[in-house]
Amino acid sequence: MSQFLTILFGVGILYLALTSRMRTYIQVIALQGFILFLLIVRDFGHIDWFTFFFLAFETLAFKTIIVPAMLWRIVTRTHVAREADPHIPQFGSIVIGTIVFLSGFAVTDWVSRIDPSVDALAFGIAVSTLIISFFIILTRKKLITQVMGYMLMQNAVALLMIAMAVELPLLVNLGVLLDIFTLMFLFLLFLGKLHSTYEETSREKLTSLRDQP
Amino acid sequence: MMIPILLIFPLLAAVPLFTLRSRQAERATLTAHALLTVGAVIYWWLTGTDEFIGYFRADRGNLLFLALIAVVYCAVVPASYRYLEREKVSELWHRIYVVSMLLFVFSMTGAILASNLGLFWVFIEATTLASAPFIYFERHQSSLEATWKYVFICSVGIAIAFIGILFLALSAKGVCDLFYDDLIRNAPQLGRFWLLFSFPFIMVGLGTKAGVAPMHSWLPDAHSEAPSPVSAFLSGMLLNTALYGLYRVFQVLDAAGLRREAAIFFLICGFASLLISAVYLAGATNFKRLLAYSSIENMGIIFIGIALGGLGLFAAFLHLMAHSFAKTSLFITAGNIAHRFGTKEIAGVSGLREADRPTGALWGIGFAALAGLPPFPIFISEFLIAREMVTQGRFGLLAAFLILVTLVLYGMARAAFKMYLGTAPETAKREPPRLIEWLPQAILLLILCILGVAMPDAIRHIITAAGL
Repeated sequence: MSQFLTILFGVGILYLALTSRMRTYIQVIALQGFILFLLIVRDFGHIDWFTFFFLAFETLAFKTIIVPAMLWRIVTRTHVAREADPHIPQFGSIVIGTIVFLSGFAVTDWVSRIDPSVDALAFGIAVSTLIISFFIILTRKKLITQVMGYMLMQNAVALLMIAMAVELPLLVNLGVLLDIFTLMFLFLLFLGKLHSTYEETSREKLTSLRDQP
Repeated sequence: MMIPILLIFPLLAAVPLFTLRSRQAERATLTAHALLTVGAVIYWWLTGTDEFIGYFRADRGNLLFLALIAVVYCAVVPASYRYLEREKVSELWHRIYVVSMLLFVFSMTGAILASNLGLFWVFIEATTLASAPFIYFERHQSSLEATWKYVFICSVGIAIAFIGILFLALSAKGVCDLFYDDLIRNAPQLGRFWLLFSFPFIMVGLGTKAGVAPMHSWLPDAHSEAPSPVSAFLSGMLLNTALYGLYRVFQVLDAAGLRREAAIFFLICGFASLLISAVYLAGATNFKRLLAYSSIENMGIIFIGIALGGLGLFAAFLHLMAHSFAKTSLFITAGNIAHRFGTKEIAGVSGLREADRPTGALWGIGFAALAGLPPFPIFISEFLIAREMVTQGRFGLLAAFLILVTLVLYGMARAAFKMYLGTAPETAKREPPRLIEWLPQAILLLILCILGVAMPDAIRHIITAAGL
């Protein structure tokens, strides 16, 4: 079951390489949040009660509901329905996304030989998700899509933690959650300001501060 | 008991400011916080005691960084008052400035005091969040652009650092937690593969925040768009805070016998920073951006010193201290120049020595301090780094270092002399500067001069201990 969930997590990000619709991005981010919640529930009994409660709350309330809701708010406020003109055409994105996704399985094989304590499949999918989220950040022009890429990266980091069974102190987990929540709030605030200033929230508009060597 | 006081005060003080709505109360709070920070540092210094509470620690290893926060804060607070008065900011934005400053200093202090790498990460991310309102403070189109780039690039960078911290935690699984002391003590037992694997991620992530090339792109924008007292804080302390965490991880790798591998990353970033700053300083047209590129250069020199080790390590921390003092002074002075001439463009400023003698003198002396002219400590630190390269027989590195530093010096000197000499434009404001506008910078430069001529043993010990 957990292998199915992990692969579903990866298929979600692969699907994003094929699409340009903001609604789909948000749906995938919410789906990944819910999968992370189910993977946390799977670990019930292996982690202490406080940490379990916190992680369950973080994945279900924050990653599955609050973050997608905040992203949807940004989308409706900035009126961006799709990423119309990425730096790399759609076909190129599909090819690269597929190669990266399949490379994740190679990573799986490699990690299983290096460190048997790591959940190799989840590790491989997390790494390919990280790479694709970077790819989204670098190749998409709309600032909102870059924020989506950032949140996908955060989901990949959460999967990486599950794969490596690394536990951080509750204080640190709490701090991380607070930081990311505040960051989302800042993204919401400044994307709204950028939208009212530039009308179009695209990376190409942010060029007034460039230097010439 | 100083750690809880230092960490709780800004949080508790920030809340009533929203209900009191009094500029006097806001300024009194900021002054009290600055004095409290100085008091805490003096207490730790004089008593020589290590304070260890839960996840926080004040000891000889972080005293230099805490002292720098205190000194820079004390210079920035009066400069902030003058800035807020001059710009006639509204009551709301006055409050935003003061509360952001409290939270910004809180997050930097927390990062330095944190004895756990995970908690350090939380505070470093918090520095980005707390300082974002500053960069947007002047609410121009360009400040909005700079703020977005700063928040987004630094957040992505810090997220990469978090991935590295997870790999580090994996290497320490079953051995110890992420406390620096535990990691260093148990370094030989850590999983070598994951430890080495973690370092590039942490280097890229914290290097982004430390402003070293090639991850520096946010820095010139943020430093030039923020109010000048805040630019002083960003350059004089925020970069050091990120470096602090990176250096602690470097120490873990050193203790694990991976010093050579870690040093390679430091050298690459160090020389890339020198190269980038040399290239862009030559064509800089905005004097705040010029100072920002100089920060990249100086962080590069610090990275090179750390990578070399030996005498280079002492030189790196001496350089870090001297750069903080000189850059704080120069950024505050740059704010005064921008106000007097109504521009941040180098082309729009000339005749500083006749338009405003104290500011002109501070600009000239500050430039000399930053350029590494004797008797200022940057001369000593750069000389020691060069000497360490000779000792290690790394003559190729020495040649590259000297050429790049000279190119940077040329770029800086070209702009500094252009601004200092000549005739001031008619549009420049002619009123004499107030004491508050030049005294903090003058004190900083005087301290630097004294340290360069005769450094007291007590200061030398603090600098040495930072590298231990």
